[in-house]
Amino acid sequence: MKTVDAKVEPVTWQPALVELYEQRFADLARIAYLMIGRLDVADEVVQEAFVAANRSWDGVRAPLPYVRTAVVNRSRSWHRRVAVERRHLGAPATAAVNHPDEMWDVLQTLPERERAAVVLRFYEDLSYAEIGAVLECPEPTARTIVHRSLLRLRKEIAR
Amino acid sequence: MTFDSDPRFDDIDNDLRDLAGEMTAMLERRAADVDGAPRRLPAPLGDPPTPQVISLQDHDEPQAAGRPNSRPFLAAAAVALIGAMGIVALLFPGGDTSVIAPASTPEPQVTPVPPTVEVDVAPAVEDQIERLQADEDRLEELVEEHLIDSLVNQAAQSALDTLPPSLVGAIATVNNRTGELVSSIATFPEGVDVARPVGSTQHLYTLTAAFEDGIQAHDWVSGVGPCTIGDAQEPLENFVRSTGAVDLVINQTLRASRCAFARLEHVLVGAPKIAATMSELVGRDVAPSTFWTHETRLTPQEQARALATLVDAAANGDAAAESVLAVYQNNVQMGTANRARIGPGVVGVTGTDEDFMFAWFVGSRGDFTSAVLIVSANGEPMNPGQDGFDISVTGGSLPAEVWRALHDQIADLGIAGAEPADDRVGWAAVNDRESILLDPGEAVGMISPGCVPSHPAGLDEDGDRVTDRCYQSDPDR
Repeated sequence: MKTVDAKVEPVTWQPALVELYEQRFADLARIAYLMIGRLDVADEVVQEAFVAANRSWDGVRAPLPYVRTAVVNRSRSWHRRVAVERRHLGAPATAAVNHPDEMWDVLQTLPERERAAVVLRFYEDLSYAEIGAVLECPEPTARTIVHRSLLRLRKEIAR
Repeated sequence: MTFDSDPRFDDIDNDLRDLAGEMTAMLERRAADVDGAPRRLPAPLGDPPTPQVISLQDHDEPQAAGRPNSRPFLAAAAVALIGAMGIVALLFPGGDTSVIAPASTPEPQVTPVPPTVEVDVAPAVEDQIERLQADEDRLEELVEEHLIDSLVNQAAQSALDTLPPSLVGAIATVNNRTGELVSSIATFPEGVDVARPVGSTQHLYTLTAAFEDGIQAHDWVSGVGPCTIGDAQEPLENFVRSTGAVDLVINQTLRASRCAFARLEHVLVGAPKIAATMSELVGRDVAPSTFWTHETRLTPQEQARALATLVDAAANGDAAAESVLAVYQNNVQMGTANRARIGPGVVGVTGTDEDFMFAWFVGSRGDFTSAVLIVSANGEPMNPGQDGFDISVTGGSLPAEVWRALHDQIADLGIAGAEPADDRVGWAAVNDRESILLDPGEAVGMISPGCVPSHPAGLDEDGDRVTDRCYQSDPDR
């Protein structure tokens, strides 16, 4: 019988990340879930974010903001990837969880950047400066994105 | 339901506060779907993968016990499949594996069953494969994003290549829906990074602030000049051939009346409000100033982002943004931006700084907004009589033409969000009524093929200056 084997240098977890994982996994998974709408993908996204943080540990100054930004970015990337798949395959790659909730449904209609801003502002209670840091935009832009998102939500609800 | 006590809603408009509160309640309710139990930490990953030799070794042991996260995966399945196929091929060389035995063989046949191949894949290899697959997904995504960026960048470079040697330019293009910068390019150092005087494009921000304050496009405002308003050191005079009548706000915008906007800015709206509006639109704090003091400076990216934000806000029902865009659609149809008329729905604002050093055109079509800045290459004002300038470069002339060249190409790219090209519209120049907005002697563009101006006498000897414009399929002309 054959076995595939490979020589890979062992890698360990940074203790601070392990502690953060134990303390904040659920919080971060909730952010990802609210952005993505799928529990299974949300878990994966958070895990991937921690793996990435561990890999780039030398450049991580503040673990929580770093991982939170990674979670938001990966959630946004997931949406973009699904959009690409839909364009190429002509149908949704995966079915979202069905929730009979109008506000939940209209949240899903927002572009991924605006959805992130809404979740970070109204669920995570971040300041506009913090939202700007996550979305890589100035504070006034973050404020504009949140305001614009509310306008878009109101329009969607009125339909 | 009210949420007045929650500090998260302090800066939310009153009419949106209940919506924000309901959204917050829903988010908190839905967040409870996550049970809160942390999943097991995945295997940590090291540096990005490097090519490795994967050795196949004899191994009689079953899959190693106690190895976490060890699950069947692509590589294992592939190796197992290849192994199984190889064994079956050895047992049935050159034959169809579905054939049990030749019919003439007298002995009873037993269907040979390949031995079970047990494969153990080191978790690290699995991790590497997963990471490579994730990278591949990301790569596909990046390729698509960068393909669009690259195509628009090439189109922008191509548009700037049409400039004469005496001019340099910069273009920034923003996606209206996402607010993301698609392209940023300049033919001179720091062209896209340095803020420069905005000229009359400041009217975009003044109008937005005015409409947010309840002023309507069809309200009256005096454009009578000369006018001495606020901290102006000397009386302002309207631009050449810009009449100074009392007229509607929309008409004062189309004729770029300086005195009308001075009254709007200083008397009716106020510089602080305009600065706040500008700050919100461009994404950074801009100090209050009056436009006649030439202090307001923006980068091409900021100008593009501002108009893109307005387009997106209008698409989402923002009444003030809708009003502003209506005015600047008219500006393309019959105002200073008419050279950007390449189809319906184009929005455009022009600006030229008072010293003729900088000329702007900021326009939007489809999902893309571009700000074009044209600057004198030799530091001389870009108006007639100056060395190297036999034409007057204003925001409505070359910058609008460059914008048009860019968006013609974007339309041809067929990328998502690009308006399809509209070949019905041709143009030659402006007619007498509208030419009040332009300077005498200003160059005009080429006449579209098949377009016969109604006033051919307006053509000059070279046939490139006319006093009419031509829409090939416009029944009204």
